[in-house]
Amino acid sequence: MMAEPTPDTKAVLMLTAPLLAKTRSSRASVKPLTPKEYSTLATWLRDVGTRPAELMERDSDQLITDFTTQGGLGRGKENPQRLRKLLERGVELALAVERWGQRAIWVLGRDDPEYPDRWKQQLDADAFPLLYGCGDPTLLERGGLAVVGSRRASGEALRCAEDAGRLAAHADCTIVSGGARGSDQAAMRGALSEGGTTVGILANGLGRAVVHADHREELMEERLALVCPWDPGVGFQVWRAMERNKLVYALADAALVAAYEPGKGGTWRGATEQLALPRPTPVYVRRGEPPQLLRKGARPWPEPASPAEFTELLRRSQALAIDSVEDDQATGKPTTPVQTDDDRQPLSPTPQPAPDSETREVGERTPAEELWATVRRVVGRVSREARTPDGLEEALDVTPPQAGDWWTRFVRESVLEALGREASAKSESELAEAAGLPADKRQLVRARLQALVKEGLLQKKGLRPVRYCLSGSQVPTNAPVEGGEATGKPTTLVQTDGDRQPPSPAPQSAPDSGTQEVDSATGTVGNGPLFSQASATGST
Amino acid sequence: MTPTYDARRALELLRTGVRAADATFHAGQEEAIRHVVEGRGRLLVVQRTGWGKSFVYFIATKLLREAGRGPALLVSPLLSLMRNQIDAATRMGVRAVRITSDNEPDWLKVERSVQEDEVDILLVSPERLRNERFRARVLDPAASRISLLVVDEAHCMSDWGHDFRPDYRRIENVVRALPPNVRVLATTATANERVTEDIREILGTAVEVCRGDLNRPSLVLQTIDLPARRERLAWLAEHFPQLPGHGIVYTLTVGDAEQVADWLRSRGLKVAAYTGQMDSEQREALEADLLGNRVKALVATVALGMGFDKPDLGFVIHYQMPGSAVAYYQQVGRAGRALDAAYGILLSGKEDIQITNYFIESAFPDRDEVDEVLTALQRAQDGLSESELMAQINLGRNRILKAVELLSLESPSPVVQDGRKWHRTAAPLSSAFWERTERLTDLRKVEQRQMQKYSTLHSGHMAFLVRALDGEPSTAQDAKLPPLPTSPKPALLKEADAFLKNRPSPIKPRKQWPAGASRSHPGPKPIRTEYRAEEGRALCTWRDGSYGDLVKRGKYDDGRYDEELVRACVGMIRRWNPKPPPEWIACIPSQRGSRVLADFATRLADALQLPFKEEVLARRDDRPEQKTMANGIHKIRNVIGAFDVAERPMSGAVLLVDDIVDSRWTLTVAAGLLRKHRSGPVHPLALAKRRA
Repeated sequence: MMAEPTPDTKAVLMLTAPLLAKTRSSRASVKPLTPKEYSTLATWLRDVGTRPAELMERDSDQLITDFTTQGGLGRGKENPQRLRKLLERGVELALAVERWGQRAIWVLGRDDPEYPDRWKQQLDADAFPLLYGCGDPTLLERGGLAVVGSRRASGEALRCAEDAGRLAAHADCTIVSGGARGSDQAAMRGALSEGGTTVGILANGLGRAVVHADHREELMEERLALVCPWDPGVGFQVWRAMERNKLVYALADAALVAAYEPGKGGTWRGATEQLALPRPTPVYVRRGEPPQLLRKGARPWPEPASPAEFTELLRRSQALAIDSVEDDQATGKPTTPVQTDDDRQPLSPTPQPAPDSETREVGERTPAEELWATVRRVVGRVSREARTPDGLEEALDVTPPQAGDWWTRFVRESVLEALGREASAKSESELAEAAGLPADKRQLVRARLQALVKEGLLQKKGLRPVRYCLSGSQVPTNAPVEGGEATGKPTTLVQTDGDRQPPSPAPQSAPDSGTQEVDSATGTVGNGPLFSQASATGST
Repeated sequence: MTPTYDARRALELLRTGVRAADATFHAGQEEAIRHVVEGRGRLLVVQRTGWGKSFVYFIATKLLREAGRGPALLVSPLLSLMRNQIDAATRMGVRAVRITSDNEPDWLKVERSVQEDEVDILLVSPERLRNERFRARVLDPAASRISLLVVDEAHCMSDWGHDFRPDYRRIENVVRALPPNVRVLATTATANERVTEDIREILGTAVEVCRGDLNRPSLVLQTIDLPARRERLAWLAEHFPQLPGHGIVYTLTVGDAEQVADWLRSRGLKVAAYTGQMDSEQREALEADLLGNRVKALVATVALGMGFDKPDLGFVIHYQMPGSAVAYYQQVGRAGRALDAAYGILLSGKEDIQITNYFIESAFPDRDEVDEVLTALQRAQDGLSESELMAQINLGRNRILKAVELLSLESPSPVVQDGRKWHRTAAPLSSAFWERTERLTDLRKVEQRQMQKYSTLHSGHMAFLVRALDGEPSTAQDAKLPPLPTSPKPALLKEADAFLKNRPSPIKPRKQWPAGASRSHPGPKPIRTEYRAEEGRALCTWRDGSYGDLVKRGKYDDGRYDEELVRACVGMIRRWNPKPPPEWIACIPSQRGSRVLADFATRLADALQLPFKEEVLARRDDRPEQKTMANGIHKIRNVIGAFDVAERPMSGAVLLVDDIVDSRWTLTVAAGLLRKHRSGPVHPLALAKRRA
């Protein structure tokens, strides 16, 4: 097991991680740096010959001032202040680290030796500044075969994935997957059942997954590593699943697509994105799948029948990958981490699909949406007096942060809906009445209303009594979410669940607003176990 | 910008705080404040209580706040952080907010004030840090700006300390994870070199230590050996009223605290018991009574602990010998802080070692217990709740909780609590866990021997204690008061003996079956009113040094209960006068044909002139002894279905006799059975009660 984060990683955590703010998302007072912003800072620090840890020293003020005056994040007045505020979060950091330690979760920064070179090399500046994980981190350096596939895979596809996993185990090769239901899990199961090693790269719910009985033994035996580039408590969001795809490909020597549907879904998108890269990880497609990926450069899966054939296939794949780099890298050694600025040129722009090119199956909700719809219904059935964080905690038997989050979201949606129905301003008690909130919890309700005002969703009108109405221009049906990792991400993806709530009053009734279908390669949905049939439990 | 220390402002704050225009800093205080404010690295302050550690952190907090820094977080085990200190803080304009489990209704207010940046210092107990709800609601939102972490009673972090507290391991983990830009101030009154080293290592690099003199010239120390409890009670009855001013009498156990308080009260003295079984509101009220001189003394367990500060405390008497010299120094050191002379008397008895041995042996779970807990959690699909653990493992609730809580404090921890459930994590249990357990156990034994040595001293008490704390003993001075006489008066001995023999305790009827007791009915379930027992009586407490010892002898050595116990029970029943009066007697049928209890019931029935119906209750089968069942769920499973009614009970009220009562499930089940077969009300009577 790994010890506490290195000093550099501590600094990166304070600068970029939500730490504990997620439990009260609306309260986060200062926005952590986005990965891009952090990259700017990291590059600058390296250029002036120092390290992130220096930012935590007693005389770091000058460093921060220099950075911002020299351009850094822009010369805005708020920037030095923002950095200082982020770096004030030392106690928050320590409390968070302690809490992760309780679940045997470690954190790596990009500068830590255990951080996978493959990511630094292939994703370059896009490599995530942090990696949370559990299990043996050296598994991340072993390359191996990535197995991806949509959730609704045929029996044949699942068998193929599982066989590949078994063979990989015998060939002493690691299986890399997103840990989703379907092909991912079939491959992992195959590998683990034969004593092999696997890496699961999760898009959410690491905190829950690491204590699940189904993974414990393998984690303890150091045959499984579960990792996630986002906070262990984050909920599922489509964009995260998409980002995670890149990590799966980048960690492996070759990828097997066990099942996919042409033109849609995360498997398709992940594979096409990969094939469009200048130095893609070789992509194989199971025989019997549609031909579209083959036309984009994928190869048919040669169905190796013995460990020796499997090893040979992986070796050839590595050679393929090297061939494609040899043009610009004289050494031809794929594992050399990128060091110099010259090498840090951005990779060819990842084709960001236009919003309308995305389709969504009519009437299909993501599991996260489904979960939330159920939660709303259930909360609606709880007696009105009990519709408080404590009441929900008790009534639904969930953890306090979960109850708090659900409650916050319930209030938010109920209030926005109530105000959306009738276009008139309402007082606090009228709102409580209309939105079905507990009448005797004035302070709780008031605090929420004020949070909505702060977010710019509500406006106050008049004084005695204060009345609230929707701040007209600011109630989008499909707006980018505030804060956090969402920034800089394609705003066309609706946030489907998790710790941040869509500002839309009724997300599940919003028309196909660009939401992706979530399938196997993209969606470990909810926070349930990886290898069992249990579905999202929603509690973190 | 790093704040610069403003000496003029600091002095001004001190003078406002103590309300004296000419006050000056104690030696070391100002340096400590400057060190913290200027962020020169971490600081450990080892100074005796009363030196003014609180002024260091309050003034430092205020100066930091005035320089625009975030609030401070003070972790302290003190229940009532010295009201006078809070008052001083308020005078200095430091807005201190205390959070306990009791003031949960105020959390929302606290949340809001934290959010509005209206709190300068947040005071929390280490136990709070394990409460998820508290962390999510109060601590997490506050954590983003905390500029100074103060760890009070920092010696509790050290596994080498006499007072290592598991909850401080969590603080240790947090402190280790802190980046260097958070100011940390650790304070303690008692840290020997080993402990200081340990804290230094936890705090990390660049630690300054500020250490003061440990000698306490005002204390008049004396040790008196009085083996039997009645001797010590008699001694107290004679000398306690003459002791100067107000003070504390320390006992090792809750039962002893109550007993001594009852005794002194029965002699017309104004005292009150103070134990960890009371809620914090009661405890605070009692502390206030002592502070306000409304009681002569509190008779307290260690629950009246760290940080209780009454500068004019005239005496501290120990009714039993604590487990270590450092603990003793800390407790006795509460006396005479602002007096020229005060008594510190150690009475030692023959039960002391047995009690402290028990504390030492039960402080940590053993390997079997840990194995059982880990195995059960490992097998569980989705974690286990407390009652699920109890149902699966035959261990006492406290043992189970102690095991999971200690394990969860390891870093990384092999178990984690998530809501109401405990889960096994992927972390192995490190061998360091057992090394620490063994080292601490060994250390406790060394400390116990050292304390025994102290109890036999005739002179040089203070020098002995100062040396035990690695202080400088040469400055220790001689007593300023005459020693107290060491032998009790025979007349008082007799009275104390009578008092000890008349201490029955109520046996409260059980009102519901516990959750997990029945497989078909998982939740708790009320026992029907008409099947419940009445409130009963136990003659004494198991091995209480009086009748309790007689019961033990009868049960295990003689095979017959002494006639004196029959007489004592008759007397007790007269005074108790149960209603409706019992018309007949039944007894719990014994295992394996033993007649010891039936014989006692026969003699009791004769003395009371009531019929003894031995045949009414019969045992269906022999089962393991109830005392081998370690928790309620196992006890009740062991007893359900154990008895039959073999003969029709009489319809009048019945006295149901048992030898030893602990969980009460045997009596509950037997009483229910009798009532079901139409007996009258059931009055349980037990010879001795075993303390939970």
